[in-house]
Amino acid sequence: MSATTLPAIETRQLGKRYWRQEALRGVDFTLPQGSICALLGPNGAGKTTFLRLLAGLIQPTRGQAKILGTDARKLQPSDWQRLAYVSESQEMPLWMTLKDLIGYCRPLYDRWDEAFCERLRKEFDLPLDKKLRAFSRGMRMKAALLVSLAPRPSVLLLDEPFSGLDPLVREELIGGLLEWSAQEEWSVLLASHDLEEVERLADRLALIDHGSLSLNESIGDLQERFRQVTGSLPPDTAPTSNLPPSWRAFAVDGGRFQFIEPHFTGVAALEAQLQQVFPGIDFTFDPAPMALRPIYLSEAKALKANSQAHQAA
Amino acid sequence: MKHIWHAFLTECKRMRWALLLYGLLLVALGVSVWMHCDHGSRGATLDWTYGLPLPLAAWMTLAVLLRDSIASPLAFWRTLPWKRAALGAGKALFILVAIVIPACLIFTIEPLWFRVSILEVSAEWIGAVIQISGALWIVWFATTLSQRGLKALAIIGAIVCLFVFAIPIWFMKLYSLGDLGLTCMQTIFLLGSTYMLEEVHAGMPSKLIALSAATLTLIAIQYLLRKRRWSVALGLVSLFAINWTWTSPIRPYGHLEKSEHLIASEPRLVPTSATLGEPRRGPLQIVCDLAGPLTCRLSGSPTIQATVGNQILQIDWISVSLGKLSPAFAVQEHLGGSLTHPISPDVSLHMKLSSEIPRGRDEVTIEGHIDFRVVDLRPVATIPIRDARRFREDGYGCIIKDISSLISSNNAPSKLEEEESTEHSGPFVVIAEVGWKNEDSITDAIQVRVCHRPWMNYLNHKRDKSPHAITVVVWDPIAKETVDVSGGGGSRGYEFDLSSNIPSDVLERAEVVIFTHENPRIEREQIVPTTLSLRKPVTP
Repeated sequence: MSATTLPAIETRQLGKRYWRQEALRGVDFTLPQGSICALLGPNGAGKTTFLRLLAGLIQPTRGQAKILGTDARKLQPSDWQRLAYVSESQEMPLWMTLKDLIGYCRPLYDRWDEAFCERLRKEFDLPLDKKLRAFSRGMRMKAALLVSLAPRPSVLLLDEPFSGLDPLVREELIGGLLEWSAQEEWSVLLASHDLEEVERLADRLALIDHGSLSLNESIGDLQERFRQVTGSLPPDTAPTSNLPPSWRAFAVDGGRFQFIEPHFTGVAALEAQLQQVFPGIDFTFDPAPMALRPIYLSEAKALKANSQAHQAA
Repeated sequence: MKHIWHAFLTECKRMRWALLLYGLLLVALGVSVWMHCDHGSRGATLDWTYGLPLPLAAWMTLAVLLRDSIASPLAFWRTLPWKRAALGAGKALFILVAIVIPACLIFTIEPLWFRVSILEVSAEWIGAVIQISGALWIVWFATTLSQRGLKALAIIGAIVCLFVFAIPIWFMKLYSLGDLGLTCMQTIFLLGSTYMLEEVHAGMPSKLIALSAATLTLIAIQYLLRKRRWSVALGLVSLFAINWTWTSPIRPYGHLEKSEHLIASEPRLVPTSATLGEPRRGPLQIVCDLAGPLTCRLSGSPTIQATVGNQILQIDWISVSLGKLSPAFAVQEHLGGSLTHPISPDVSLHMKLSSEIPRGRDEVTIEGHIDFRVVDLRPVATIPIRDARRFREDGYGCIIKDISSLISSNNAPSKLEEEESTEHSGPFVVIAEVGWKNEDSITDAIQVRVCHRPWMNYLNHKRDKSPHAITVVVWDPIAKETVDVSGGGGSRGYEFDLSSNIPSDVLERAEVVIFTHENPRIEREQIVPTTLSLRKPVTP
């Protein structure tokens, strides 16, 4: 595999167990270079564990993770030159001023871009001589991003970077990330809860739940595949056969029906399915593309239902 | 190399406050050494071995807080492109410079810790500075362990914490920080740690145990409490505790000790002159100087033989003049048992020969020895008379020093103890009062009274009592000689009237030194055979 086609992140059967709790269950994941992937999932799904495994901060129980082709367990300083990890709960050397922090990090990076650093600092409006201890949460996050981005890394691992930030700061950060990632062709894996931000920022979406990865594809593909189907029927018409298993949230009410088709492949195929469900009945339908939020909610509900069914079994 | 240097400088910056304290430590030690060498003894020596764990733990609390607040988080380090070897080397360099070298320095001159001879008032602070610095480097070292290791240590330390800190603090809260609370804290703490240490008090092991216990304790506290506010509160309590521990007169096990100018060196009898009395018949007076400053107890019997040629002379009597410690004590009276007295350097030996020296002989040879059983008398308290005088002028009449903790239980005044036990069911403390018998005139006899007060002092009370002896002397630190001495032995119920014939200039600088004669901890006993050999022409 050549360097250009090398995935930024690649995991194979990556698993992590904390005592009796299995936090990650054999995740296979690939992030192409230059992509921004949003890692979504409910609380305790395993997002942070996944990112920490990728950063080599914790060791996997099984499987393997590779960052730019290097085993995450064996990341060398040269690898960290191209890798940045910023976490919501990241501890910072609070005794340092921002100037100290920059001075502390700068000698460690070969590709430290002083001009870019200064530009970021000004855009973030961060004071140089103030101790990090005196910084607000948002300012600390900005400072962390600043020292992570200034060396122009190739891969960014961001764990809830916008959590708890005020809207203005979020806007600034998202705008900045969008701009810089486009310029620098960064590969970004971003764990977040905020679907709106993700929709703006990411071009890929991964969904993790109960330690398993259930989704990992580009948002374009996802929106192409997920359709909110609505249609009309003669009044008092009911479906005559079993519904296709892929359909979600099917409902018929007063001559109208709706459902979500997560595996939309084309209008003709969908029409054929509808004809099987409503044989000999005149109907119209409209397979509308979905926003990211309903896609996520649909997927999350399906996962939850599967999980409950699994537990019941 | 760049990374090593960067790591080193970062560590230095990160630990700058600790380094500052290291610096203070070194300065304090340096000053101490300088004072010690240049000025001899000027003040108290601290034996902090037994008082170590609590103050050390207290300072370590603050140190851990410091570390907690200034430490760079490991997780952050690990996300930076550090060359691990360089980072390790930088830290190692820092450890070497900031920890190992000071540690070596400290332990090399460790004996000086016991003779911190700077101004009396400052001695305790120097001790505190030493402890701060010592604590800091230990804590820092402990925190370089892996987090998992620290957690493991914390679990072990939690048990120590329970006994050393939690319960005493609980007691203090329960009893509203009163004397009782403090005493409980002291007692429980001592029972839990220091008392145990006494069993293995052979210097370094006890220190190491104390340091380990304190380290574990503090690490445990950090992990158990987690909340900084609590830690700060604990730090303040500890600070209070250390202050109290260092300054409280009822400091168990601690003691003040006069510097070595009062400690027996190598005593030897050096015959310096001999005079003959009546021709042919005695007394033959021989004056021997006992060289070297001494504070000792003499015991044993003299074996002295005077010969003229082959003829053994009959020695009628021998007396030992104790120099300025008048009155002289006759050897016959004391050497059969024990002569218990601090003596000043110029001891002279007098003999009277009853044998007739044959005519025509021009030489008398006297050979023999006296076994000097030298036992260091331990000055338990030193009270400058000027302080007492100052007090007196202020209307207090005397200065009172609580020496209960300074006198080991073996030396506790048994007589008064009995009296006290009839009047007070509780424990007691021993105080020394230095004042003037006649308040109207400072030229009156200085009165030193050693007596009891009903007080909480569990440890002193519970320990076994045994006969004891206390001697009080007035010491001139400039002339380095004893000005006056009590009758000795505490035979008068521990009230000593010292001579009023002390010149006023001496009185200004004199100190009342209270000795105990037995101290199992520092007792040093040695037999010093002394051979006298004197050849003196006999003039008919």
